[in-house]
Amino acid sequence: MQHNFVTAEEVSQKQNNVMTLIRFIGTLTLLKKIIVPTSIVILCAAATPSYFLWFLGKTVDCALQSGCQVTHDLLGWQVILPLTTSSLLAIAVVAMFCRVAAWTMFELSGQWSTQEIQAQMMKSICKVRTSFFDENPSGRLINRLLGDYGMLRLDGVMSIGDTANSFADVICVGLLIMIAHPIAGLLILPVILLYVGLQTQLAPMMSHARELRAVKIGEALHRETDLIEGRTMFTLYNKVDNLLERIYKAFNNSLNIQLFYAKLMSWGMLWMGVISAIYAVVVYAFLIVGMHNQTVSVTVAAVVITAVFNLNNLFFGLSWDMSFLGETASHARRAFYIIDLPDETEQESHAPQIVDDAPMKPLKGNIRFENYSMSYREHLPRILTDLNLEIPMGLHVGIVGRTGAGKTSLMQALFRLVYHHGGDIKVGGRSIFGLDVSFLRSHFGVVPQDPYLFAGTIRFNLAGTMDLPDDHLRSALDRVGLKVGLDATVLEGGKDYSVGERQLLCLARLILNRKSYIFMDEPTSSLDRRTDEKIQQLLQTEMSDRTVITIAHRLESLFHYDLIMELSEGKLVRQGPPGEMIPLLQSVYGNIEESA
Amino acid sequence: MFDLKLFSSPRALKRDFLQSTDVAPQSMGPELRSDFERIRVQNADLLISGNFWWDFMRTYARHLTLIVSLRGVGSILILASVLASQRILDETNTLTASLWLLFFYGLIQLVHRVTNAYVAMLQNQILVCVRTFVTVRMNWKLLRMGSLSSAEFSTGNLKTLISSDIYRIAEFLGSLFRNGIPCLLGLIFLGPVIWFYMGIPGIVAVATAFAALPLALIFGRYVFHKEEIIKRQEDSLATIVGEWVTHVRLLRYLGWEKLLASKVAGHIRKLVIEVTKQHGVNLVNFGISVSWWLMPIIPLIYTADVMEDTSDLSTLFASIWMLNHITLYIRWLPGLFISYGAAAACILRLNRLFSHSDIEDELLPPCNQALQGAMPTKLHFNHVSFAYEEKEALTDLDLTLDLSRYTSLIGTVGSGKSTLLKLICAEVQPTAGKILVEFDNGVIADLRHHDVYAAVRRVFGYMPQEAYLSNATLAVNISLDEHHSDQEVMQAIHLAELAADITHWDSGIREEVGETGVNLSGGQKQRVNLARALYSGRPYLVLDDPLSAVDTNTESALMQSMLNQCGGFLLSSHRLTELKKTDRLLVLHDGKVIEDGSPTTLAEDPFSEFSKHLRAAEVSHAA
Repeated sequence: MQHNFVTAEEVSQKQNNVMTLIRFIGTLTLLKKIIVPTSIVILCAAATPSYFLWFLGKTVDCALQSGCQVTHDLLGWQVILPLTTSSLLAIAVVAMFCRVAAWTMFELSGQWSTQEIQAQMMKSICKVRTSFFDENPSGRLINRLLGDYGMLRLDGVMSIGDTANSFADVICVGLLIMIAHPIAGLLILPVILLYVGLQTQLAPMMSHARELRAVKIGEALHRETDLIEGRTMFTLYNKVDNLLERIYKAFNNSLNIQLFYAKLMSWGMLWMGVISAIYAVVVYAFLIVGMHNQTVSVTVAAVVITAVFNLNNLFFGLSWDMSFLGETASHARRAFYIIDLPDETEQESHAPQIVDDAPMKPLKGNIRFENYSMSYREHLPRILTDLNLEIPMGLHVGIVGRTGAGKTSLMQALFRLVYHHGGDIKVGGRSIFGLDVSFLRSHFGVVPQDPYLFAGTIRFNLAGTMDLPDDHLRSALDRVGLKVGLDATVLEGGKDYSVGERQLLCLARLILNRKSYIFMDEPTSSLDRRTDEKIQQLLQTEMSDRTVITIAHRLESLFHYDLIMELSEGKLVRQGPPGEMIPLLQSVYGNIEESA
Repeated sequence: MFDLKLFSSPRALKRDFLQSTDVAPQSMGPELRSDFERIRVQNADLLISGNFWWDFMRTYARHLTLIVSLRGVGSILILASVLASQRILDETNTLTASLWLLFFYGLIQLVHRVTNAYVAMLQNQILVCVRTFVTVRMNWKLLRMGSLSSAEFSTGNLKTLISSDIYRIAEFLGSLFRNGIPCLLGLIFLGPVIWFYMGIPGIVAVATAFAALPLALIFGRYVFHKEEIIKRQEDSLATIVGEWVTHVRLLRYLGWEKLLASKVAGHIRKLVIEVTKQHGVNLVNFGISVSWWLMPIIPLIYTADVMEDTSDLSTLFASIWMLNHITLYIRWLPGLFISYGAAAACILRLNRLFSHSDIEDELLPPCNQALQGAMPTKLHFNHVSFAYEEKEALTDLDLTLDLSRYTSLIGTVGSGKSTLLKLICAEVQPTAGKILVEFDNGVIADLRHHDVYAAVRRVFGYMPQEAYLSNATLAVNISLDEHHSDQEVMQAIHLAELAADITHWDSGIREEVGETGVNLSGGQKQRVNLARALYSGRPYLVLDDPLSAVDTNTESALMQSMLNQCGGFLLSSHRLTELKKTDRLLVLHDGKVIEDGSPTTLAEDPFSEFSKHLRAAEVSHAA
C-alpha cells in the first residue's frame, strides 16, 4: 500500500506552505493581469452590505421626516442618495452585482490561468527520464497530472479567492463597528489575528485528517472490492467470515478517522465560536456605554448589532476558507514536484560531453556501440556491459539471444531511454549524446512487439505528427493490405484489432514517414500465416533500402536477412550471414526460439 | 462530549495528532456501533424492508432526534439573544439593567456556541451512519445473492454503489440536517414572533426571503446537468493521460509526446470552457443568494412605512435579526432539493439490488434424502442446455463425469468449455435439462437442491479462467485467510510452481500483489489461482485453462502437481501435450461433445479430432 499522502513532518512545515502558495499565485498569469480591478471589486462587494446597513439606519431615522438624503463627496464629485426604500433596493442590487463580479473575476480568471500549470507538468513529463514511469504507479501519476491539477483548478483558486473575499468582509464589518466606537471597530484586528493563529494550528490537522481519511477509505474500498469480485471464491472455500472480518476492520478504521475529523472540526468551531462570542460581548459593552453617554444613537447601535449577529458566520466562513489553503498548498507542492523534475539527460552524466558540430544534420552511416554499458536505473545491474558492435547502414540485421540478453536494451539505448554507465554510441561517426534527444529519436522507426494503438481513429494512429493528405494515408494502408477506413475508431490499446493488423499499421506508418533506421520487435506468439508472410514481404520490398534491425524470436524469418548477431549477457557473442549462423543457432536454441 | 481534550491548547493537540499517522478508535454514539454489530451478527431480518428513508430514520432515530432537538435549542437560543439585544436597545434601561442584559446575552452566546459545535459533530457523523447502514446491508445482500443469479449488477456498478452513491445519499441527509431542518425550525420558532412584531409586513418580508428560491433552483439544475458533461470530459482526459503514462517508451519511440501533450491541452481547454460555464452560473447563483439577506429588509421597511406601522425601532430591528437568521439557511435549500434528486436515484439502484433474488430463491428445497457424510461420486448431465441471452452455448448435453478420474476438456474458443465448468460448479444454472449428483451411498439427486448444492460445493475447488486477485499479500490471496499457516501456503506455492517467482520478491509470500494483481504477470496470476485451489485441499478440482501462460517445463510440473494433489479433476486447456497424462478426454465443439475417450487412444487414431488438434499445434509451433 503506497501512502502517497503528505506525511506528518511535511504537514508541520508551515513555511513551506506559504512559499508554495505564493508560487502558486505567481503562476496565475491571467489573474495577475486583472488583479487591481479585481481587488477593487472585492472591496466594493465586501463594503456594500455594511453600507446598506448604515444606510438602513439613516433611513429608519428619517422615517417620519420627508426629503432626507445622504450626500457623499467622492473626489469632489457629489453623490446624493435620497433616504428611500428605492435607494435601499438599489444598494442591495449593487451589493449582489459586486459580489458576483468579485467572485467571477477572481475565480474564473484564476481557473483559466491554471491551464498553464497543467501544461508545465506535461512539459516536464515529456522530458523526465523513462525509468521515472517504472518507479511510479500509473495511478499515482494520473493523480498528479489530473487529480492535483483538478483540485488546483477549482478548489485551489477558490480557496484563495474565498479567503480574500472573507477577509475583506470581516474588515468591512470592522469599519461599520467603528462608526459606533473606533476602538470597538479596531478590536476586530486582534480578533482576526487570533483566528489566523488558531487556524494555523488547526488547518494542518484538518488537511492531515482529510488525507488520512482518503487513504483509509481507499483501503476499505479495496476490501469491499474483494467482496464484490471475489465473493464466489470466498463462499466456495468457506472463508466468508474471514472476508467480513477483513472488511469490517478496514471499514472501522475509515469510520474512525471520519469520526475523528468530525470532532476536530467541531473543536475548531467551538473555539472560534467562543472568540467571536467574546468579541460580540465586547462590542455590545461599547454600545451600551455609548448609548448611556449619548455618544451612540439607538439606530447606530441597532445597525451595529445587526452586523454583529452576522459576524459569527463571517468569521466562520473566513476560517473555513482558510482551512483549505493548506490543501491547496499540498496539491500545488505535488504539482510543482512534477514541474521541477530533472531532465532525462541527468542519467547520462557519464556520457561523453561533446556538442555536435552540425546539430541539425540528419544522421547517416553505421551504428557503432563502443564499450557501451547501461542499466535501466542507476543502481540496477547492468544489462549491456562494454558492448562493441557495428550495424552497417542499409543492411537488414537480425538480433537473437535468450531473454535478458539485452536485445530490447539495445534499442532503448539508441533511443537514450536508459541509464548510461560508460562508452559511446556513434551513428556515422557522430556521438548520439551530442544531439538533441528528440532530433535523435526522429531518425528511428519502431514496430513494437505488441503494438499499442492509442484510443482515437486510425488516422491519428497512422499519421501521428505528420500532416499528410488522405490519399497518401490510404495508399499506405493499401500497400500493407489493411482494409480499414481512416476514420474507423480505435479503442484503448487497439484491442479491437489483432496483433498482426496492428503490426501492419505500424509498417504503414513507417512507409509514410521514411525513417532511415527501423527496429522491428517480432511478436512472440505466432501471427496467422498470411499476416506473417505479408510482414516479411513488406520488409523486403518497402524497407529494402533502409537499415532494419529485427529483434528475432523465430529463426525462420531470419533467412532473408543480411546479417545475424547473437547477444548473450549484454555482449556480442558472434555474428555472421544467415547461411552460417542459422544452423549454429538451431543447435543451440532448438528449432523454436523460446519467447521472452 | 469530546475525545479531544476540550481545553488542551491547539499546539499540544497538533503535536499529539501529527505524531501519529493513524487515529485511535473513536467512539461514535453507542447506537451506531451496536447497530453495526447487530447487523453483522444477525443479518436476515435487518435487510431493507422496502423504504430506505424510513428504515434509516428508524435505525438512527436517537441520533437524528438529538440533532433535530439541538437544532431546535439553537433556534430558541437565537430567539433569546434577539430578545436580549432588543431589550438592550430599549432606551428606558438603566446602565446596570443593560449590563445585566449583556451578561445574559454573553451567557446565551456561549451556550449557543457549545450547542453549535456539538451539533456539528453529530451532523458529521451522519456520513458514518449512512456508510454503515448501506455497506453492511449491501455486503449481506451480495453474499446471499451468491453467484447463481445472472449478473445484473456488474462489478463496476456495485463499486459505484459502494464508493460514490453512498456519498450522494449522505450529502443529501447532511444538507437536510444542516440547512433544511434549521430553516424549518427557524420558521417555526421565529416566524410567529416576526408576525407578532410586524404583522403583515413581517409576512411579506419572510415571503421575500424565499423569493430567491425558484431562480436558484433553475441555476442549480443547470450546474447539476453540466456536471455530467464535465465528468465525461474528465474521463476521456484520464484515458489519454493513462495511455501516456503507461506507454511512455512507445511514445518516445514514436516521438509523439508533443502530439499527445497538445491533445491533452486541447481537452483541458474544452474542459475548462465547460467548467467556466458551469462555475460562472454557479457564482452568479451564489453571489445573488449570498447577498439576498438584504432583500427582505426592504419590503419590511417599505410596507411598514406605507402602512404607517407604529412599531418602534427595537421591534423593527429585532424582526430584521430574526429574518437574517432564517435567510441564512434559505440559500442552501436549492442544493438540498437537487441533492435529493441525486440521492433518490441512488436509492432506487440500491433498492433494485436489495430486491434482487437470492441464491436461496433459486435453489430447490432440500431433497430429504440421507446425504449426511455422503460424498458425491458422479455427475450426470441429463439433456442439459445453456444459453446466454438467446445464444446457445451448450446444446442437449448427455454426459457422466466420474469424480475420481482425471478428465480433460478441449475445444476451440466459444465451444462451451467454460460454460460447462461453470455449470458443474453451479455458478450458472442450466436453461434446460438437469444435472444429477450421484453420492457414494447410492442417492441420486438434482444439483439444485439446497443440500445437494452445499454437499457438492464442499468437495469442489474451482479455478476460473479470469483470475481473481485481492489487493493483499500473496499469502492472503492463496489462503483467503489472514490466519493461515505459512508452511501450507509455501507448499501450495511449490505445487503451483510459484516458488521460483517469489525468490525475486523482497517480502516473499508477504509481497503485495496490488490492485487486481497489477504487480503480477498474467501467468503468475493464474498460478496464484491454481495455488489457491491446491491450498484448499478439495478432493475434486474444476480448472479452467490453468496451463495457458506457462512454459513447457512448468506445464509438465503443474500437471504432475494436479495429478498428485487431488482425487480427480476436470481440466480445460488449449495446451495439448500434457493432456495425454489424463484418464479421459472430451472434445467440445459448438456446445456438443463430439469426441470422448482415452487421450492416448484418440491420439493414435489419425482421424480423431484430438489428433487433428495435436497436428495443428505442431504446425503452428514449428512455424
